[in-house]
Amino acid sequence: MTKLTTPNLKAARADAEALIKRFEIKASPVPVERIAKRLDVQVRYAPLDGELSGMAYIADGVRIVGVNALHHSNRQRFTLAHELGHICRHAEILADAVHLDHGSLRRDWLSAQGTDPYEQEANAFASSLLMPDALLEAAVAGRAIDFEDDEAIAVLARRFRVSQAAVRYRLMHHGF
Amino acid sequence: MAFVFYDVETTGLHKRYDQILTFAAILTDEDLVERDRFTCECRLLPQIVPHPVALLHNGLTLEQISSQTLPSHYEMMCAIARRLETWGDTLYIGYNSIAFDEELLRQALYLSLHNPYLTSRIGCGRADVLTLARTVAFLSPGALTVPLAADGQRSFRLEDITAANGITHDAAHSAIADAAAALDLCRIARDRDGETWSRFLRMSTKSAVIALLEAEDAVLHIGFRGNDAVPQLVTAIATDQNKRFCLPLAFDVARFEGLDDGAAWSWLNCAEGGLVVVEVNKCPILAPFYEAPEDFVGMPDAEDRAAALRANQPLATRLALLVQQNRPDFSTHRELEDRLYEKLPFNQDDPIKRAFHSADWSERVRLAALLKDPRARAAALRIIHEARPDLLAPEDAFRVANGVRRRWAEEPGRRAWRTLSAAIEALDEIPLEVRQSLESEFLALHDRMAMG
Repeated sequence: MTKLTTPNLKAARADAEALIKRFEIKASPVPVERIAKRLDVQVRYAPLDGELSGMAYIADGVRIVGVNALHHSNRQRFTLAHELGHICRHAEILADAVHLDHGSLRRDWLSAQGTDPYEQEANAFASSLLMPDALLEAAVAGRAIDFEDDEAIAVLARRFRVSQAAVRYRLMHHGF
Repeated sequence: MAFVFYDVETTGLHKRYDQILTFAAILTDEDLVERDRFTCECRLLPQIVPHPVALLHNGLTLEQISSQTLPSHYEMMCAIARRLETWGDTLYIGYNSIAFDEELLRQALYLSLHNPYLTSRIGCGRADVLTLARTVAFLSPGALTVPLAADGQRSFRLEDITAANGITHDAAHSAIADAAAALDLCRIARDRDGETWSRFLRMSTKSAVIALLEAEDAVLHIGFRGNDAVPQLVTAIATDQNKRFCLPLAFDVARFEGLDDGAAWSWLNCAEGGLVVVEVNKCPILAPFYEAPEDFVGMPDAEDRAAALRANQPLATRLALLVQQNRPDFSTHRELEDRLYEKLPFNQDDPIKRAFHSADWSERVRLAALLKDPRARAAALRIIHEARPDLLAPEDAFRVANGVRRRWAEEPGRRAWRTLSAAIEALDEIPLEVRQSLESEFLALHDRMAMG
C-alpha cells in the first residue's frame, strides 16, 4: 500500500460534507456520535494517558474509535470526528498488521496536526464534519468573521459544541 | 496513568463527623494494569468519637488508633494530597465511593487546607464500581454473579460479590484489599460487558454528562432503588448547580398544570410524577436514545415527545421556579464540618495554604492569621492546636479546646456528631461475646472524661 505523502484536504472535506448530506443533518451541533452509530462504528470511552485524545482500530472486523473519557466533551467531539476521518479515509493504515498488533492508531491532534498528512486529512475531515459549510454559513449569517474577535469565536464554539481552537482551525485552514 | 482505585477505613459512617483512619489507593494504566500503590493511616482526631462497630469491623481498638506513634490526620492528608497530585489526571474510582469515600476524602482535604475538589478537578473523573456492578447485573444478566444474602435478597456487598465471582478478597475491610477487589471487579465488567463499561466511563466527567443532557432530547437514565435498576427515558428540563431535573417522556403535562405549586412539587417527586434528578458530577448511568439497549426503547415517538417537552417554555419556567423554591437551605450551618459547600474555597488563600504546608509550627501560626476564608482559618487553628497548642493565642487555644469538649460531651438529640455517651450506647449493637474489650475501653474513657 502506498503511503500517503501529500494530504488531499479538499477530498477530506468533501467526504465529511457528503456524510452531512447523506444523514440529512440540518442543524448544529452536528450529532457526531449518531453519525458514528449509523456508520456502524463502535465508540468506546476510556481514561487515556495525558494528552492522548483517542484512537481508531479494527478488531474482529469491527471498526472502533476510542475516546479519552477525561477530556472535555467538546474535545471529545473533535476527537471522535477526527477518528471517523481515519475510519472513512485511511482504512489501509488501520488494517496494517503493525497497527492491528498494537490495536490502534493513536493520535493527539493538538501536537500532530501540523505535518503528518494522515493527521492533516483527519483534522480537515473533522473540522468540516463538525462545522459544515451550510451550517457555518447559517451561523455567520453573512457577517464577516474576524479571526481575532474572541467573542464571535466563542459564540460559534458554543453553537457547534467545539473548542474555540477548533473554530479557529476551521477558519484558518479552510477559510470561509 | 488512567485509574486510581481507592478505599478508606473510617471511624464510622457519618460523612462529615467521622474521619478517615486508613487510606489506600492503587494506580493503574488504561488496561487496568497496576502501576503503583499507596497506603497510609493516622491516629484519631481530638474531636472525633469513633463508632464501636466501625472499630470492630476494622479490627482496631481505641488504644491502637489513639497511639501517638501514628501520623496525625493532617500529616496523613498531606501525604495523600502529595501522592494524588503526583499521579496526575486520572479517574478516581472505588466501591460505593461516590456516596461515601469521596465525601469523606473531600471533607478531610477541606479540613486539612488542601483542595477539597482534588478528585474532581478539570482533567479528572469520578466513578463508582457499585453503580457499575448494579448496571452490569441489570443490562447483562450473567456477566456478574450476584449472590443472595441470608434474607434471600441480592447482595452487592463487596465481600459477597467478590466471593461469588471468584475474586480473592481475604481481608475485607482492609482499605488496600477493598481497593484491589474493586479493581478486579472492573476487570471482570470490562471483559464481560465492554459496552456498559464504556458507557460508564463516558459519564465520569461532569462536562460529558452536561453535554449529553443538553445535546440529546431523549436520554435513557438508569437509576437505582436499592439494588433494583429503574430504567427510564427522560429529557432534561431544568438546571440547578450540579443537578439536572429531567422529566419522563410520558410526563402528564395537563396534570402538572392543574396543581398548585406545593401539590405540583409533591406530585413531581412521587413515582407518578416521575421527576428524575441527575447529579452531573456523580457518574450517572445515561445513554442517548439511539444508543439505548433495544429492550428499553419501546417508544417509537420518544424523540418527538422529548422535543415537545423541551419546547414547552412555560413548563420549563415553572419547573425551574419550583426547583428554586425547594432548594435546601444551608444558611444555618455553623459547624466547620457543615460549611464546605457554602461557597468555593477562596482562591487568594491558595499561596498561603501552600506556604502553611511547608512551614514550621511557629510560621503556621502567623500564616493562619493571613487566611481570608474563615473556614480555612478555623481549620488551620485546629491543626495547630492538635500539635502545638502552646503556640496559639490563649483565646484561640480555648476556643478550639472548647470545641473538642463540646463534641465529646452529651447533648442528647441535638447534634449530628457522635458523643461519647452515644458511642457507649452503640456498644449494644455488638454481640456480647466480642464486646468486652471494646466496652472496657469506652467505659474507661468515659471515667477519665468524667474526672476531667
